[in-house]
Amino acid sequence: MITVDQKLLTFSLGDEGYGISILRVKEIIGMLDITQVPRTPDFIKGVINLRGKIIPIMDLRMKFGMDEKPYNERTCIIVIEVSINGNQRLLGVVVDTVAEVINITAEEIEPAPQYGSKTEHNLIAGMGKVKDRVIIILDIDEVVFCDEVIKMLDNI
Amino acid sequence: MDEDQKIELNIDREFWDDFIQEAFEHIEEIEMNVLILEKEPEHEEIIHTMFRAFHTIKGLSGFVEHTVIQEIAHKTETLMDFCRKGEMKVDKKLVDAILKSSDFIKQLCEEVDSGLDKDFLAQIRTHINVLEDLVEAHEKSQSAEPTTEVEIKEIEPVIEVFEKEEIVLEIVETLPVLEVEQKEEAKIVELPAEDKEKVEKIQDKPVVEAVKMKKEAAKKVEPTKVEPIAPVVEVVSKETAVANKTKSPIEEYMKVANSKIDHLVEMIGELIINQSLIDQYVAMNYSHDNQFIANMGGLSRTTRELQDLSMFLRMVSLKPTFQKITRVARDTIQELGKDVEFVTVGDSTEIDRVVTDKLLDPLVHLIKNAISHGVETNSQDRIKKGKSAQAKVELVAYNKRGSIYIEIRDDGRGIDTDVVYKKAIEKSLIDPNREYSEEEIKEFILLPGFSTAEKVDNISGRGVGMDVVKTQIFKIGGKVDIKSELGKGSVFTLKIPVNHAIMNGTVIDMFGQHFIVPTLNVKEILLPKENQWIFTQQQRTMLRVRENIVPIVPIAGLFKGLYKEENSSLVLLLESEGEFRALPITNVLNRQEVVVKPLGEEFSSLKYISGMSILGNGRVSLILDVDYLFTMEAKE
Repeated sequence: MITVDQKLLTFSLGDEGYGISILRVKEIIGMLDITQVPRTPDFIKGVINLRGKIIPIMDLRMKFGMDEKPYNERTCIIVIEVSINGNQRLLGVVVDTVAEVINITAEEIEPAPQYGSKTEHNLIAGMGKVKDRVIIILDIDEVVFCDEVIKMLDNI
Repeated sequence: MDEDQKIELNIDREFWDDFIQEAFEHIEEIEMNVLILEKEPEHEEIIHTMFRAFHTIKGLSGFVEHTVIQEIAHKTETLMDFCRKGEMKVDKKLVDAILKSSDFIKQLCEEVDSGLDKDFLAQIRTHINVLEDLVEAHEKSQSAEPTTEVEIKEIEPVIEVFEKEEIVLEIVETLPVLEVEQKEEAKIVELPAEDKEKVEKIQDKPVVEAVKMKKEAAKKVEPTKVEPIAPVVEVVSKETAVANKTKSPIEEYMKVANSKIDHLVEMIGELIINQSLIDQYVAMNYSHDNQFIANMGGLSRTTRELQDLSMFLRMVSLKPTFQKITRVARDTIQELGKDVEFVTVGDSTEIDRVVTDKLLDPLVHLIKNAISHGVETNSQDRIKKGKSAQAKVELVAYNKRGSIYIEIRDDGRGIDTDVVYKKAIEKSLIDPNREYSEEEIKEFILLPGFSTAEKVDNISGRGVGMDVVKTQIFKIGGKVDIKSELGKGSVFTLKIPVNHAIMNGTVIDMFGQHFIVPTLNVKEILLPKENQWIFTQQQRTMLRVRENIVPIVPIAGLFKGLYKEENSSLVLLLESEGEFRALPITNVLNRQEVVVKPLGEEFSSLKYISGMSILGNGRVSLILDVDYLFTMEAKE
């Protein structure tokens, strides 16, 4: 539940608009050569060289069970900062297009709908109503840290 | 000090941390010096240094109000003071006491947070009593002698110096008659040592000052160029050279946190990657612009030089490591009561700091092993074999072709391959149906769970260890080599890359992606004929290489998600610990130095890769963990 005003970076996956807190975003880059890492979940596309730093890349479409879409010039990687086992790490998230940065007040945010669906309910921090659009606000820590990623950390 | 006294430190953590760091530096110095002192008990300079070190620790511990450390340091300092004055001889008893003092201080520093238990404090109490006994015994023996003698002793050397050099500015000045004589005869008259007044004056001057005066005197004398004086001048100037040497400030150092250096080195690594990307691009697109190419060339050279420099930043000498080992060797020799001479050679060899940290444990183990197992149990056995009664264990380090070699040599029993073979069979560590060469049998001692020592003691013989040595050394990219001759001794050679972060890698192509294999593990690159493949269930599972059958790494499972069916024609023959595996590949691209980047937390569970690296084309490549490939079963 979000109770304070937010600055969100909005992006789209297919027809849906999403937003994440701008505070977590390090930078936005275009597509780079991805080196595949075998024996990782499908949505982990591999690793890239971000100015000498090696960071893993997650495809958000595949993470959300959407169809895979070939990357084009509008495809972006949002580099976010996450904490894995207490260490600050960078992670690249592949999205269809990055839209804009918006201000949203606490009143404009409604709690996430409870559908009882197992996978996605806690990934959503809230629904933001901006003008006539609805933006799904993601809890990026949950997105990065949900089951499959943990599974990846545990075995293989 | 009560035995159950708890030490309260009413000071800032920061002060305490500073104290520990400084105390450790002094303790390290003391440990090094005391071992030299044991060999040269009359080394004055070292006695002085050690006195100062304990004195400093005493002062510092007073500042942080650690009374126990203070007491130990104080008592030890008193003993050192006696030695300094030449009243006490350095003997084994004293050396032991000093080492114990430094051990306790070290332990007290390390365990300040955990609190002190009674036993430990009792041990310290006993030690302090030993120190007190030494002090008292000495004071008693001193009080028996007349004190005047001591005074005379102190005066004498000062006069001696002057008599030797035959010039003393002050005397020359205050005795004009003498100066005249000096010029006329060009030969210095005997010092009027009998002149009580003058002698008393000199007596107050420290020797260093006297030397300084002599330097001035020498300058004065020089311009006159009276020939017979020349030799005297020479002597004096030599003396001043020594004085200058001790006085001239040594190169100054700055303490920089390791993390900062690591960060800098990492950044330079990134710079190198960017540089090679730009270089490639320029070569492709700007070949017509000579000026640009030349400028880029210059930049490129500077960048690479910067990289070389950055590699040196992390290089530290092996000295501290060798010191610690010398100490361990001494204790081991003493505990076992063997007659062993321990020698270190090449402690100035430099190596990456990260590597030295990981080197200590394996070296300690190898040295203990050499002393306890390598060297004969008693010297009679040695004499019977025509060897000297005293055994020799050497720790030698040297640099050769970009690698550091560290050898642990002993002139003891050598490895008995029959015993080793039987033991290995007994513990079912090896295949009894296979023939093994002498070399291979020697390597069995590196297998996990192998130990030939009959009884378990606190030195070695638990059967852990040698395999740990091997894995530790392997982790830093090194190799262990064993040479041994029965009855003559053994040599364990560790070959370690100078820089841990840089590795020689063979870049291979598999399924259209580049991978890196440590060149160290690449034995051969083969182009096998069709009849060399051995199939089971229509799968290639083995490869016949000459008379050996080599299992094939199950790449379909290994590269799940990337694997594509393709009939690889090339094979990389991998070697690790005397075993072989065949890795089918599409192509070999090149062999190059690669900067190893450790795996991030998110990939730490992927055991088949040991790291990643960024290649010249800017893409990330995975470095295959060869050891893991060897553990893979065909069905995976």
